[in-house]
Amino acid sequence: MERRKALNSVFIGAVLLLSALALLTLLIPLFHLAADALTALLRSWGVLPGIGAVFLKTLQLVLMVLLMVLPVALLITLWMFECVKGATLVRLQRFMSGFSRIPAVLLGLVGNWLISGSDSMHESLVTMALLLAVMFLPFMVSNMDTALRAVPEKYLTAGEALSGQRMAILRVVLLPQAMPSMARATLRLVERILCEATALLVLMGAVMPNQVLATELFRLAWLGRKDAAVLAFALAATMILIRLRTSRRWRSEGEDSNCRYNWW
Amino acid sequence: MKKPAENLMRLGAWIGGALTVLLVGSGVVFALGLMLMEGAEAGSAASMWRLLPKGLTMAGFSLSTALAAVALSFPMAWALAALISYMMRPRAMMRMRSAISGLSAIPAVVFGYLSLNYFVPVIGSPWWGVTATLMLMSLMRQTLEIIQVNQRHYPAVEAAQAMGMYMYETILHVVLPRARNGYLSVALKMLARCMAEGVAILLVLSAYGSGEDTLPTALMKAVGVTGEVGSTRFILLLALLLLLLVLLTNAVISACLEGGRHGKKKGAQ
Repeated sequence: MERRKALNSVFIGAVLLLSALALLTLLIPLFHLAADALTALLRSWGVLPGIGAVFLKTLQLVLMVLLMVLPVALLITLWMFECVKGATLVRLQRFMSGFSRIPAVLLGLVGNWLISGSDSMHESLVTMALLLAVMFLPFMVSNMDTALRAVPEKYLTAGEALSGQRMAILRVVLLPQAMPSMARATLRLVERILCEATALLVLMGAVMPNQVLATELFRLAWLGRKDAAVLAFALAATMILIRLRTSRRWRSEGEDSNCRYNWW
Repeated sequence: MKKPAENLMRLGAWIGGALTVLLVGSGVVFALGLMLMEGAEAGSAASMWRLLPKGLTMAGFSLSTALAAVALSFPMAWALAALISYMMRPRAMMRMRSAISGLSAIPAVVFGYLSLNYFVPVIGSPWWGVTATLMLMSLMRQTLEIIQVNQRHYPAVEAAQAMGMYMYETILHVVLPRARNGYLSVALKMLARCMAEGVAILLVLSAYGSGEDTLPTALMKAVGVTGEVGSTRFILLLALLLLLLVLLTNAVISACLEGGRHGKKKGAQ
């Protein structure tokens, strides 16, 4: 009994030590970043309007990608849900899931090849949005399909028992039920647009002054400018806020569960 | 009464969906085909073979740094996830989970900047610099996914606790055998992310010439930051190698998660 108790204490000690190490490894650089950003801001308030313009352009890009991806993804999802069955459906789902994992750098290369020779295309927001839309479409279809298929079968059966038409059940029952998951998927899409656009946009040659957040941070870091810290901190803070907002607002049922025993 | 509208909606879904899949699919296939044809025109097979050793060295660097990063970060992430899942009270657990979720949303390019300013000047070695950066990026994402895996085993943990098992016995003898596949898939997913999505990090690091070339960064350099294309053969080779590496990792993940093409494995997460 004493040996087991001692082993348990050693195990808990090791877990605590490793956890503290994990948290310190991440939090110390983050605190340094916050301090650097504050110092850079106090030294020069003039960087703020520039950052504001970059934020605005990023917002434009996000809106354009959403406008391109969401309707198309919804159409494909409805088509897959209603019209595709059996082995074809499985193949299509595998294709979407596999395609959503293709690295951004390869799609950036394809984009580069397609627009090579035209200087104006490299800095055009529409081109960036189009490439990002192609990159994120399978991800969105895959998520929307999962959300739609996660709605309990009994709702569908109840709708049919009430002699509802298939599309009416879809519109009145299934889509509203799947809406929280779809909204969460959309916010994940916004996160991915803000986070993972760097490689794609850099490769297609979109590193110009005052472009979107992801490439501007890369450009400033490349030039060794101190105000890159402000941009990095702003980007990190935005992403953290979006994630916290998402997880709080769209928390699914059963996520509050926990072991009710006190290990200590 | 509503039948014409219903039929119209169904027809719209059919035509819209089929057309979009057809257009997007054929567009991507056309673009990839164009890229391959241009590459094939640009160089003979013999010159591609000459470039292969350089490409393979980069693939080795990518793979070894990603493997080392996952190997180093996984124990820390697992310990933190165990602390949050099994040792904290519900309210503290929820707050910590939210905090971890928030931290895991930090973009890769910010981690590149953090590492460049606070890690690389201390570490010095390019290999360790890249590894430390990838480790930093994967730490919180892994923790969040391991917490989700742990939460699936609460009933077994409660049963073990009710039978008077100590925590180390419960985790080592009850949770670990059940969650093994889940942990493996988390580690493999992170490996794929480190290789494919860590590009932004590596890009920021390579901007200062602090690192050796990995596959993605070499691809970036070959194309050039301003979009100017360099050696077509070399770019094609690097792109193909990166694609193969990612497809291979995806196949392994799919085999671990679903038991390959022959259905779901018993107990797979």
